[in-house]
Amino acid sequence: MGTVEVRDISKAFVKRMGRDVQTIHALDRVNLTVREGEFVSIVGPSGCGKTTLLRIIDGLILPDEGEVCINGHVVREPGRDRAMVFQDFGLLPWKTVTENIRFALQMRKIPGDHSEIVRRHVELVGLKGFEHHYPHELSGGMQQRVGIARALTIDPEVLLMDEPFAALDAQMREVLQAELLKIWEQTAKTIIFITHSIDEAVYLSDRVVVLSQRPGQVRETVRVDLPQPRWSYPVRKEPRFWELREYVWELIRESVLVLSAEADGQ
Amino acid sequence: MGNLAASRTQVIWLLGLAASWEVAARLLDSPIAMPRLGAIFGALIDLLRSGQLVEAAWWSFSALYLGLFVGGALGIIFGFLMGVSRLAEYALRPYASALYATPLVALVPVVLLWFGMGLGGRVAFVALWVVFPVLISTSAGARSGDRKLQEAARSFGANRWQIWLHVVLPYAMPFVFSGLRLAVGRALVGLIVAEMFLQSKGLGLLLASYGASFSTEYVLAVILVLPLVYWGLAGTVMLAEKRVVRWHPAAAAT
Repeated sequence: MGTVEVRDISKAFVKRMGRDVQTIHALDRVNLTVREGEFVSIVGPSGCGKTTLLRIIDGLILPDEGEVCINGHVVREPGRDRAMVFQDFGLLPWKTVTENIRFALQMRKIPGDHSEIVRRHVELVGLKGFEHHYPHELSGGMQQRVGIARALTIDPEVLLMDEPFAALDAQMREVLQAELLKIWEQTAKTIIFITHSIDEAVYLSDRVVVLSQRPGQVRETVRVDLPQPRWSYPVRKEPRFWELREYVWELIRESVLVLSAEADGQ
Repeated sequence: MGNLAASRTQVIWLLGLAASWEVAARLLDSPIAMPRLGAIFGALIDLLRSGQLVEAAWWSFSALYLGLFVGGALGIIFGFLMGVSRLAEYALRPYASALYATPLVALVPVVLLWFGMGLGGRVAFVALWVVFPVLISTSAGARSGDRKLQEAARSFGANRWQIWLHVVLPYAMPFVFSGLRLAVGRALVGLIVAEMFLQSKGLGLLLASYGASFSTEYVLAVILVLPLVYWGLAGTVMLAEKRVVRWHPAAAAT
């Protein structure tokens, strides 16, 4: 369980600026299949519709065309089989760590002893001793641990992560990347991970999906053939890691060049 | 020790002000225009002994306290509705802004006819003063709610009601309290004016009757009590705010 199929997804937004009405084509016939337990990263130039794609998979917005299927069921709204981790954490500032995690359990009406489930996940992400802190009393890294615990607590089949480490400093990012890999190993979730960091994408994933500039299309899917578990050895020192990084960067660079040429032409 | 410095400064200023008053009163030598401190305190003691002051203050205070609750509750309910529902906003906004601009003193007779001259009418009148600042700031708070937080809640399966209860309402609470703080001063002024105007029991009546007979020392003695009433109300609001908005970074810093 936990297979994600994205079939021919297109999405456009209408943007109004005064009298100007502009249609922005965010995604154009995107196809993507993610197998159960697979870790897939999506990268692409900024504004290519990465986040839009993730929100469609979560069911927060509906595509204009195409459909998303989780385990063969079409997605129409957010569901229990998916959980999202947000770039700006998305924690309720008036709830403590425990209350924020418990909130997901309550909304999803998960049966069982909530206190026990929360305690287990607080431990899993290393938040012991901070149960009764409010988000503003925690560092960004700690806040995102809460975000990850909240997502895992409802035991989803698919974990959707929208640039979860982008707001953190470089050291904290590497610590959490390694921890995410350990958690993935323990829980065997399917993970779809949006990032603008090529380094992060190659380090974490089984496959890296490269989107083109807007309207976003799948440009290429790159298999990362570095052995797992990657937290257990210095992956970033492997020559193959650098080759893959370079290769993905070349794919994106072409899109970025097209974009800046367009910007110059205007 | 900012508090110590603050109270020291305040005591020094109070003594200085009292001394200047006394000097000016002696020079002017007119008990009606500027009674001496001794006369003011004599009047205060007289009012306390006769029980008039305590009774009047209790009358005014209880009307203010209950009015603050009733008006605050109505302001939160209708303000929240206007914040989250465009239809409620369209329907209610014109009346809210029209009444906000109405000199509410003009409505005193009507309110008292509807709700009676007793506690009911006075509470209703205070509530009328309190409701609009609370309503306006609550609706602003509910409308400006954090879209990203609402989306996060939706992603975890919250329905519209749950988003209102768990996300929009708590987000609006600091706004609610800034409206309430504004309302306390308005309510006090409004009630005193109404009591003076209607010759109805309370501190306002004392002020009006002693003012009419030019017993300035009694008027000033009553005015000395007004800040106590105000601090009683404002203190309650502040305590409630501290409890409810405990999570706010600004609240934690103080």
